Amino acid sequence: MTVLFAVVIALAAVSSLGVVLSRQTIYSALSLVLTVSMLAVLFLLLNAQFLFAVQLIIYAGAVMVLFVFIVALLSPDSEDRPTLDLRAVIGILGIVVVTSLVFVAARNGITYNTNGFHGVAVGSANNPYHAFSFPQDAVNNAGNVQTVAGQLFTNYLLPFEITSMLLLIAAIGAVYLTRRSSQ
Amino acid sequence: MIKEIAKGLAFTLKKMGAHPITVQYPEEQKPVSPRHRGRHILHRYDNGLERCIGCELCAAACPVGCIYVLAAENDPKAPISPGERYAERYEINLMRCIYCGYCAEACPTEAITLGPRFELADYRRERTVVTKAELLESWPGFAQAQGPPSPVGAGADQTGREELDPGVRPRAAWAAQENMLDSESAPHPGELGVPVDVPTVIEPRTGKK
Amino acid sequence: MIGPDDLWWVLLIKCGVLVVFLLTAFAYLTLAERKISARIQLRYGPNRVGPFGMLQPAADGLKLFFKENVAPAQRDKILYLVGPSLAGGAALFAYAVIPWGTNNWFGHVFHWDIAHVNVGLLFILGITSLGVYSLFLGGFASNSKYSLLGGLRSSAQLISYEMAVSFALIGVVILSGSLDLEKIVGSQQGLWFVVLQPLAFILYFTAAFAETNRLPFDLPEAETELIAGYHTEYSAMRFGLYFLGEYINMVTVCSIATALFLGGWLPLLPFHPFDWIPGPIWFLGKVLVLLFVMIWVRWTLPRLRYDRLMNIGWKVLLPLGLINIVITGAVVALRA
Repeated sequence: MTVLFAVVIALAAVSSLGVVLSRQTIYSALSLVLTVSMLAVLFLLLNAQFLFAVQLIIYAGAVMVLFVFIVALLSPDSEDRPTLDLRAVIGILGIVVVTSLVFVAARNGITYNTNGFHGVAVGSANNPYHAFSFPQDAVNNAGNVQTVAGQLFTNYLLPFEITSMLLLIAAIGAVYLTRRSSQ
Repeated sequence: MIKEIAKGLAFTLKKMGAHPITVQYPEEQKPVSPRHRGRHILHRYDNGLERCIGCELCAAACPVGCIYVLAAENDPKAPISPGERYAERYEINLMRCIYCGYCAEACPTEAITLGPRFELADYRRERTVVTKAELLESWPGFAQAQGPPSPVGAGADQTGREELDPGVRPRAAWAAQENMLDSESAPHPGELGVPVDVPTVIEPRTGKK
Repeated sequence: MIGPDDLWWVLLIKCGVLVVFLLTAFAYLTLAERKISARIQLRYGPNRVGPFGMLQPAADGLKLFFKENVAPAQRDKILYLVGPSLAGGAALFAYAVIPWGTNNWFGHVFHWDIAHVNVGLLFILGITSLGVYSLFLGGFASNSKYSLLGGLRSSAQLISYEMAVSFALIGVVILSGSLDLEKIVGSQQGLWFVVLQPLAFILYFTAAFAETNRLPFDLPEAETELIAGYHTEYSAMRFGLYFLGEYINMVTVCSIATALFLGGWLPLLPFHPFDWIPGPIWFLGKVLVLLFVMIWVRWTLPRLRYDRLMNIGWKVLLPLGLINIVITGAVVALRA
């Protein structure tokens, strides 16, 4: 399992580097597809199977298809190989700092461990649909999809509805903006 | 629309059960039509004399120039054809021939016709120039053995010629032919009943007759 | 107790068996297509190479291996190879979660699938979404007008019909209450879902033709239209991989239809003469029937023009799918 984890992480890191460092734009877009797919596999390794499938369908299979279509058809000019100037050095330093912060936070328990994700308990503590703690057995028994759905439609209902409205606005806006002006 | 789709599907399903109309060549062969123009046949009269009189009209009529005829005088005591001359050498280049049938139309004695045989491929180029030995039918009725049987009837392979030449008495001519050929009996289907000492020419036509 | 599903070498054997099965299925599906199409057209199919042409796929495979790989000079060399690899790979990959049955042997449950994923249906949808890239990359990397057009059309067709597929399948998910393919098959014990959801079955099967680029939805690869669409510039084994992807997609799609609508490994009637045939054989039989229907339809119906194809995908199948979801949801909610 650790070997698989290491391979996935390595591929994700390499492909995300590829997004930034590729000379051709289409390779950047495809590297982003690979990065997103590797993130999906990470979700699977963390036993979040629903998120894995959804990430593949929506992110890698729809959003990135759109990106790839646009890049391939509109062919933005490929840039020169990035040079190591002051901007690049500051960027790399920034990445190093942020990554270290994430590491420190992860090691100090602000993530999922065997005791669950601790926070304020809302509703009945024994019901995995309405609780904030997700022991692995409870999640597996209830079902991955059911747990996510339970949280999404009860605790996080408002953000869910707002996001749906946002997507609807975006879709309507796209249709409106690309309409042919009638003579 | 659903009804049309269903009707179409029912039709193809029915056709799946029908017997295919393919002819599984070469195990089965479709019979050729009576007027099929395949490989040439040099005919004889029913008394055994060859019809070809060496007039070379066929060579003249041929649009491609693939026929070579060498005429020679008939020996009166042992005539090969009922006339003054006969064809000593008769060769056709089957790869040049376009199987148009003009030679058959031009022949005054209906000696050369095109028969039903169309499987003429060979691995050696020189074998595609057929000589009189291969063209001559061995005895009247040889043509039927050459190709697939025609549905119209056995005589169809010979373009339906029926009349006999009244010339020389049949048995005498045949006996003369036999003596000349120096063979003991009627030719077998495998051999073409041809005198073995008739030379065959393999070099291509050079324009000299 | 460690059951057979937990041993890693059992998994490896299952993977090997599945890959061999899928490759053989691909080979003989091409032969079946040629023979069935021949019978429809009143001729025999290939019948020279082996008895009844059984060795014809081997001859075809050998031919494809030995053919010359003609490729455009200005192609994108990496993406040109990624396209067919992804096509073949995604097609094989998606088959990992399709359940052929479960058996209880000596107290251990043996699953006849490679990965028993909780969200099997979503996994298959995800992998088929990834399969769109193979078409698009093939068309794009070939550096040819017809390939690019064909690739665009194919990808657009596939992502449109993915929506129709998902909407058709949601009805089944509502009825069975799970995304796990094994549980869905299990909940068809009383009545197959094709009886309860005939509209969904027809929608799914129609959208499946479009998902696999089969006639009547194969304008992107029609010979008379775009030469061969996205795989015009591919030859020999690279084309063979695209071909493999298409035919294995057919098998996958028919397997999903069997598992979700035709009761998977459940016998026709739950009593004794039907019970003696093991589950996987029932599954295979149903998949073969559906494959036959796919081939039969291909050689019967004419091809749809591309704009009508997209029209049907968005304006006919999608609303019908929504109606199906609404009706199914209403019935389930009212009965509960």
